[in-house]
Amino acid sequence: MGAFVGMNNLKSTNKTVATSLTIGGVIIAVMMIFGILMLLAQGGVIDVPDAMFYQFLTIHGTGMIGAAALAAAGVMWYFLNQYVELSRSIFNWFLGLVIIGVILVVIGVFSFEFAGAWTFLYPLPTISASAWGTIGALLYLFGMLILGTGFLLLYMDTGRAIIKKYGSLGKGLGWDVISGKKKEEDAPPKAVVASTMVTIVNTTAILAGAAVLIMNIINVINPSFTFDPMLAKNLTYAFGHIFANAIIYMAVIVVYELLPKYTNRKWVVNRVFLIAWTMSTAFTLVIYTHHMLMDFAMPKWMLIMGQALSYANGLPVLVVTAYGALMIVHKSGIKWDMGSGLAFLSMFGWTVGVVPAIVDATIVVNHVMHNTKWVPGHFHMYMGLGAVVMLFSFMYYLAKVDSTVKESKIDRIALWCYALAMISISVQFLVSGALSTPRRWAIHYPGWMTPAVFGAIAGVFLVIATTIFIIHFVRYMKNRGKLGSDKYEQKTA
Amino acid sequence: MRKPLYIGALLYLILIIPPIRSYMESIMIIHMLIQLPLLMVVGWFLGKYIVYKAPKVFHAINENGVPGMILIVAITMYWMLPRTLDEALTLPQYEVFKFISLPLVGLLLADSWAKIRDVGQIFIYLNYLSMFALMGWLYLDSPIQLCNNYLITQQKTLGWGFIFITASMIVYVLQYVFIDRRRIEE
Amino acid sequence: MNKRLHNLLLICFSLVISFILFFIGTNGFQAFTAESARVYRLMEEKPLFPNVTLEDSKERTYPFTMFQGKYVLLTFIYTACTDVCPKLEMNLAKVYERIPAELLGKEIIFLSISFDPKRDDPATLEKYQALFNSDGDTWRMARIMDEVELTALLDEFGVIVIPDGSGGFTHNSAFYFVGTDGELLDILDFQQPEEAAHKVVEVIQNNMEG
Repeated sequence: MGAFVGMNNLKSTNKTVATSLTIGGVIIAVMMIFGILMLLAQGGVIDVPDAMFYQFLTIHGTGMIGAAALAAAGVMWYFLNQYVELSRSIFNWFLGLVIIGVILVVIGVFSFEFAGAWTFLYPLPTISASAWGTIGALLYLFGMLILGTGFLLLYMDTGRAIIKKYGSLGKGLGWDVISGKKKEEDAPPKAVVASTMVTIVNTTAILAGAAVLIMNIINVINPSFTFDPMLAKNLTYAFGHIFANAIIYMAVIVVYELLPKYTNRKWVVNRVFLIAWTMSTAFTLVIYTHHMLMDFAMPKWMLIMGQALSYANGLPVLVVTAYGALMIVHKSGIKWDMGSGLAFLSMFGWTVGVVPAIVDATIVVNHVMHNTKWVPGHFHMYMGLGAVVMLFSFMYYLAKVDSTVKESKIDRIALWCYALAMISISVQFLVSGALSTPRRWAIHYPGWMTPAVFGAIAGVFLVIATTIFIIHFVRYMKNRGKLGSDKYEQKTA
Repeated sequence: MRKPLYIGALLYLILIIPPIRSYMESIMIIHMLIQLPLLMVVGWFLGKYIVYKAPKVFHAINENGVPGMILIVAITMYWMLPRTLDEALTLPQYEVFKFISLPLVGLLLADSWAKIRDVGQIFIYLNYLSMFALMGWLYLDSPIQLCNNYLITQQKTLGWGFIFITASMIVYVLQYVFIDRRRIEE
Repeated sequence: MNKRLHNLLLICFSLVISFILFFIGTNGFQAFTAESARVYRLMEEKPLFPNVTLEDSKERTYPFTMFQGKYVLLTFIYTACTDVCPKLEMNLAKVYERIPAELLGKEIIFLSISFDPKRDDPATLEKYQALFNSDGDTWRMARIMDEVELTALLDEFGVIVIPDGSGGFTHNSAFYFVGTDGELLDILDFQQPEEAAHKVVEVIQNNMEG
């Protein structure tokens, strides 16, 4: 009886998580289309009005970050739920609020022409030179606020659950193991460590974001209330950088959970692993200043800190993860399938994607490169080839453990197609950056156009590959629960 | 069990005494951050007594604490509008409303706080944290004078008051999430 | 199920009350500060300019009713003010420049009233008006000697003046547009002199045609 109830719960749990991934995946695919349209417009192939280009830019940025965060939160929730007791009704609230937020944002951007980019940098929402009105700005800002509220609820629940089981967030990060009070064998699992990190940084990010969003709303409603723009920019990037950065730390949990299962080996949590995650937690919170290296009014020490710690930020976790992944796969006789293949690809994408970021975080380079397409080159590689690939990896993993849907040759072709297309798009951005092509420009000089057109063509293949991934996942959704899942197996075993 | 009733009523009477009232209202930070919260404390004590006396009524109208919490948020946000403090000084009907609505907040809080359970409490707490930070920023940073009845320097003082509250709240959160209370209990 | 509905209704009820509270409290989401609320209320009351006696920079003394039949655009200032008054008067000068010369003095009078009569004697006002190219006739600067009259005027027009303890005052600022019978027509944002000038000219011309 108990097992039966457990299975019922499990079925609906998997359904909720799968819903977040489906929504996230579909939005990501649609946003890719807007990306292609922008590249085509920049490449001079199609004619897009300038105002509309910036609407595309806004929705592409907002949609990609929002959808990836939504799906990644689903991944994190799925695995964390196996170690601590999470509330499913809160996850439903989270989903509902995110959907409401997305709808408001879409209406704001398309019906009321808000085009202030996903960074909504103060005071742009208010002074648009009549490109959009108060309603558009308010819809967008309130949409983001509601979306943020959804995420806040989710992290409150994960934080509460982790504290309940492990005592404190510090212990969730394994500080008692680092200090030697506890043995390495008793360290919290990797999924818990990563979730704790994300809970800490994203709660901070969302609170900063909420303050700056409400401030923008006040300014839109009553423009005579003005604020210090530099402080606003700090808060905006404290929110935006951390929130976008945390996506990969949520999604990477799938790599931690999947590879040991596939290789039948143990991926032990050791002190180095825990120290790396603690370092990344601290650095992620303070390095957003590398977005402000060009703001001369910023205190110099903050910028230097931004540069120095940016080097150090992603690296600890990346190194322990990539090294760990290599070690666990090495000579393991792993059977490659879509899940493991994508997981491995994501490790590659994450590693190479960090390189251009580190280049850009250098103050001297940043002054020249930060407003070129070099930066989109970095984050398309990092997100598109790293974080988002982890999400797809999870989709195939879940389909495998929870249904009888088989992977076909088309799926494998799609994997290669995706990898090559995403590499092409990233390289195209990097080349454009090296050519000093400015980012966020609707119109390009002829000399800048070729890479953009190349990127758009690659984008078409990317959309095709992504669609194949999503179709596979939707087929799983229809045949869910035929096999039970790994958790169910654990329970009955 | 009548003790909270007496405490609440006594505090309420003290706050109503005209010289005390006008003194508190003459300094902006005392008005906003001492008088208003004290009025809520009055409501909290009265609420303890009333809820104890008539639990069924509160069970019927405020079972899960959410309706009460919504009103609490609305009324407290209302009193954070730059306009309302001003109006309370110049218009008697606002002053009367202040002395009714804020004890009501305390009363509802006494009933709702436990009912919204830990998730609701954390949510409310974190929202007030960013709201207070924003209020601090607004009063410190705004180039225009927000209130007609107070000097700009008083506004700045209030802004720092809000920043101080925010900082204290952050410290509280940090110790809450990083100190393992289970060990202390053992 | 019934219970859930019951709770849901209560939640909606409290949301509606909250909405009403904010709707009334901000005059339909129009006025978030006391200043905007003050303007909002004054526009509904349309107070009459009380009868006061002015003493201007040329040491002329006359009642306000002398301006009957003319529009008056006025501000409240004190000359020792170092923050908002110079800005206020600069912007009044901008409005002044934008009014067609044939209307000045005939149809409209500019008036800056000091609420600091002790220090702002005619000589001080004379010196102060030179800074803004005010001629003392079509744009006059004046004080009100009678304390009672001054207080009545400030009350009636919602001007709040608080001594800051070191010789200055904190006060609210705006352009007050007064009609031909001394009735308050409009309160204009002093930070938008172009708009204010536009509005004033429009009203005068409509009146001349009508």
